[in-house]
Amino acid sequence: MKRVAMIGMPNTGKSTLFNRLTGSHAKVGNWPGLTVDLLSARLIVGDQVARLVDLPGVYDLNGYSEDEKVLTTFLDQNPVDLALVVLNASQIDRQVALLGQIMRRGLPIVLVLNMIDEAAALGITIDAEGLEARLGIPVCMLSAKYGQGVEQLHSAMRSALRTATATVAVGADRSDVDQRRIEAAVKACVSVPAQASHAMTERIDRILLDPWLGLPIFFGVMFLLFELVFTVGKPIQDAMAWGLDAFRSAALEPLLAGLPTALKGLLLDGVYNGLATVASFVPLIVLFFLCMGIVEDAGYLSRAAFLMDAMMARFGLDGRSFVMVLMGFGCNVPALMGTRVIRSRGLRLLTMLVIPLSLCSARLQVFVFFIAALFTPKTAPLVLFSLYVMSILAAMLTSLVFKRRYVNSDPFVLEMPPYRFPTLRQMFIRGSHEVRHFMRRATSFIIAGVVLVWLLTNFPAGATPGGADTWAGQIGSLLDPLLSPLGIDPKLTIALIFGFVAKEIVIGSLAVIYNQEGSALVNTIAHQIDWVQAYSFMLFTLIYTPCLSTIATIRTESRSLAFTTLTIVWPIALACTVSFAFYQVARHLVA
Amino acid sequence: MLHRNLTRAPLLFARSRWHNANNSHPKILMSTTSTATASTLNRLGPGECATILALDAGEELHQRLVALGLGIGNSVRLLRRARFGGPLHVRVGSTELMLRVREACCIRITDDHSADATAPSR
Repeated sequence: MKRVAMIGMPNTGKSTLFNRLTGSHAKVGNWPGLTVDLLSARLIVGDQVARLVDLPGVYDLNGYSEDEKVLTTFLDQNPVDLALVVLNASQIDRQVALLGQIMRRGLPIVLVLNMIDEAAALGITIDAEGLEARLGIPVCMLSAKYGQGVEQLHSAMRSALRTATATVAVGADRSDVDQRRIEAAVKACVSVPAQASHAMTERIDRILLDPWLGLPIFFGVMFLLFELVFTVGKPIQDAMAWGLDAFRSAALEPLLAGLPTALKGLLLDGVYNGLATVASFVPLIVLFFLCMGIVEDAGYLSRAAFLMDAMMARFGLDGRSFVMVLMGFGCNVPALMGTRVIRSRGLRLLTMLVIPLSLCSARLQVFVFFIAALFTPKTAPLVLFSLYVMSILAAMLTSLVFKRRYVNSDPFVLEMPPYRFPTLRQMFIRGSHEVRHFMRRATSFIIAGVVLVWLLTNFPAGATPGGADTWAGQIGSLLDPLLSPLGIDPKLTIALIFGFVAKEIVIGSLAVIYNQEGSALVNTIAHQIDWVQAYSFMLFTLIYTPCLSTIATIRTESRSLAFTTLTIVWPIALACTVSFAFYQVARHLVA
Repeated sequence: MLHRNLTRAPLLFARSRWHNANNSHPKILMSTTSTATASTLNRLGPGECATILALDAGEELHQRLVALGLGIGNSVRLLRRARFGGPLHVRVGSTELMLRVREACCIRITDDHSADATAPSR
């Protein structure tokens, strides 16, 4: 199969073109010598089949950024039959240096000038035939977003692939390609008016980036997005949980009734619950990426970065990190996936270390339950608010501690693209893609974790599920000397072990542990622990590992076991310290 | 006005930190003889234009700046600054960029800052 590589600078619409050419059948895969995944898809070009590979956006082939190293490693180790060099038509004058570098590598090239709709709106005219003649390579002008010109690209690829032989670009230095000649060709064939600015963008920016209005508008926009994702997503999530539960009791339980109890428990409480956990994230991820798609494609994400950067730079983060941490207050999993927009690995890892400390909606359920059980309605809102404050403080502390370890290696010079209308098609392709990515990578990990916790809380054979005689209970009493100074008794420790899977199941697990339900459970807990213990437990729950799905996501996104371990160990250590400090101080003050 | 004055202060500090972090042997890619009359991009007021004289940056930053259009000889205009010493919003050609004060201090520009009538007021 022939191989076509797509190369271009960031913000040239490469992914849009990729989706336009291949539909939504792309898959993520490993390539020799690379530590990151690349998106690729089968592409039918006339009578030939090729594999189209979307390479990360780069500014310079000899560059130092991680993406630039990925690109050169790819070109050195994988033969390429054709390179689609994608340039932004309205910025061709500054992007043409990259074209020269790729030509010097001796790769067969089709030059794609994307976003011709925007170039036309700016009054930029391009003589494609003239460029073709002067550069000696096929030139296609198109709009990947709206689809004009894609047909011509297909025919250009068809004829290029017919003659092409795969070229490994290693050492193929064609120094006869003269950069000055290329620039002269662009100068002769492209005319740019003296004032090429996006008038609409300028007007919008005057409001959205206003020194006084900018930040309030930004928080308003974030609040609306947040509300949209979680007021729409939560009912869908609940409906899905209900459906999965109904399927379990109506179909699976009767079907598996004949099996031995242990096997039935493994299949239902282990494997099926694991699957249900994965499924419950699907609506949130889709909605999150729909919203992020709007914010990013419209050009607002870089504006958010502009507005928040002064504050975040102090913590070693940047404005984009802030947007993701904020989304983490809804659900950590999509927020972690969203950090992919950050191209510097150090900055991305630091953001991923901070996000799990955001008080997500699942933890909120646990807190609401405990606050209702142990605090008066008058103090309840204050208690909840204090937990949000603690969440933010923990995030700030974490970034301050680790900002020297995970340093942003990329220069902070970002493009601010003009405001654009995102298309529905683009957003849906992205959303569905992210969901498949999450399911493929996280499912087995999550199921394994759920099964493990099920084993811990149900074995050895004959133990009461969730009781003190299970392995989890034994761990609870083993850890008692460690956790009792925190005010956390062995029963609550079992709940924390359950909570490792997902915070949603903590309340349910308490019902199993205390063998009571509803208001009886609330009464029992209110009698067995006091508010100091409850608050200490909530602090611990807030800070330690949010859930298995978060860990699975960190593992697949960071591709580093060491980093994933750190994201488990550090929060647990922090949770122990904070809970210990609170419990000891409060105990002495109260008693 | 106050925060603008504040943002100018860490010029030297910012530059030396950049070099240390990214390149143990900073390579100044342009002679520094022109610096006597030149100021840096960080000194530009909102709405003002100037021409880029030199890039006083390590290789990595130099490369990135040129790739984004901030090459020597190009005309650059400051559109606005973010509050609290935040990044600068500039335009070169048809490209709009944001860059932190630290990076802006590496870009030497001509001293005659022409205000542009069409520029936004802030």
